[in-house]
Amino acid sequence: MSDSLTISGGGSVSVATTEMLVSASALHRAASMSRDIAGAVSMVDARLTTNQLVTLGIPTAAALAENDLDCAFAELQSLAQRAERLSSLVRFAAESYGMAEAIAEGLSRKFTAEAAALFGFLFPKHLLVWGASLVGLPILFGFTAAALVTGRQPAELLADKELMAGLNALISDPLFVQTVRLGVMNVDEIVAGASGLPPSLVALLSAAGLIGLSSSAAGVGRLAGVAGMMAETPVALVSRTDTTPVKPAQTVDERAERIPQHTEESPFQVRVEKTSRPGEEDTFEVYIGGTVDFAFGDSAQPFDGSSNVNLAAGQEAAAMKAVLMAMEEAGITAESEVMLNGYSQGGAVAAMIAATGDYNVTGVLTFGGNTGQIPIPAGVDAVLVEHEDDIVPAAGGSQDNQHATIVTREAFGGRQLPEGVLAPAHQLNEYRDTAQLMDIDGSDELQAAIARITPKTYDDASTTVTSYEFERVQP
Amino acid sequence: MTTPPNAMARDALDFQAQQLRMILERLTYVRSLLPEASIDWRGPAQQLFDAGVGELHRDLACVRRLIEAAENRTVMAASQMGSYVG
Repeated sequence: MSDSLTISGGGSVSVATTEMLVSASALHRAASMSRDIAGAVSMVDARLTTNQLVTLGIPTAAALAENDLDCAFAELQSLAQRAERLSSLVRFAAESYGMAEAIAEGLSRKFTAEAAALFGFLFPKHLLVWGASLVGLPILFGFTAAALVTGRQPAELLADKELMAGLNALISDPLFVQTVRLGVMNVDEIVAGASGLPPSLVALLSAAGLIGLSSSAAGVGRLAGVAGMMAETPVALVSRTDTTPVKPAQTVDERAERIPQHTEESPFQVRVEKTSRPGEEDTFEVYIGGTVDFAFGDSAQPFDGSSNVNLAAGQEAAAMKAVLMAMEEAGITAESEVMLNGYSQGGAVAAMIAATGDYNVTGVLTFGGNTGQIPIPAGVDAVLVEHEDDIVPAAGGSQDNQHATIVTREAFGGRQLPEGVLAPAHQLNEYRDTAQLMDIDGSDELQAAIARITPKTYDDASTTVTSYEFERVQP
Repeated sequence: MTTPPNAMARDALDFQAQQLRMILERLTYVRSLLPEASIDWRGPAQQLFDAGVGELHRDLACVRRLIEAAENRTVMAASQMGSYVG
């Protein structure tokens, strides 16, 4: 397991491992302390001057000590300067790397978009071939395979251990994951090029954000609609737990642990915690689980494959309707302060709710969510956790929420992939490991970001929890 | 009995030694802040970073030696002042 976390976003171009950030902060503190100590040495030195030593008849050893202190003062000043310079160098390196990475990604996106448009334009009749190779991979792995990650997995895939191991190795390769990320961004460009639009116009539309992931997903949704699949439905609350007292979560790991994981005994998809204080408005924490059923249509489960595609299309999917209904049931109004936590599809729902601007969302924390192209408002503190070897966040396209703090880690770097688990880097228990690393990480940047999304606790406050289960209502 | 000027001088030296011991403790804390060899750096950047860190450790060790020497000399001077007791 790789324990190295990489932090980016936060409104800066910096991309740094936490080791770099911890080093930069520690060096800055060392520089500041060295200056303080130099001040203390100077004060000690000033208490007994050489003249006083002579007057008081103090032995020469003390005079030599004064010389040592003079040298120590000069050395400490120089040490402080060196430590400060090295701290700045580390930050500069992080920013330069971040800028280079941002430029490289920008160029990749531009070139792949233009190439996709050109291929589509030149070889419209080969759209199926290109679709199979370029569009098919992202769609297959970006939407469908990513959607196959947890819950109901195709028996035939599981039965074939070799195929499963090969597929797992492929979709857990960080390079492939990055390719998928770029690929899903270019589906539209290929189709637009194939439809006869000049590549230069396609590139312009792409740059202007008029075509992209959401319009391709909408296209997939429309095609599926024609085939009678993926139609959105209303949802209904079918069960809820009793409301019981609970201690509010204070760490990232505690939050990850509270995200609902669907089982037969616990079929709840949404958990809401309400904190009440005398004389104050209630505040809320919402925890949203991931995809439960990967079916595209003909499913009673709102957290299904159809919701995945419809969320990517920017539409109000059944999963989102379920969460909004749970919020209403819990008494959350447009003014209530609410913190949203989500895993996988739940992460996308959390980002979508924040993006609507209809609620007073104070923070968003997602694990493995396909949130890249969902515009979380800049005023909302967000921490987005993504594994570099997890294909699901890549299915959401490039991560454009650069104001958020983006924490990445290669979950299986240097570790054997487990057998029988599809896309292991997407599993919630792997994200819990990352959450634990985040909690103990020494980087000031990460701790500040975590502090911003952690509500304050009060002695006179009480918190209760209720979990909700929803089903689709078939027309 | 120590003469008053000697007592004053001894007190001043004892106080100085005590202050220097506190400074040594603070230097130990600064030492704990300095990074060790890098894990995440590669190539020339790693050499540059490691060289910079190495220099800081050497500087700090030098400061520590100087303060320890000053403390030893101060203690020695204080004990010599004590031996003037008449």
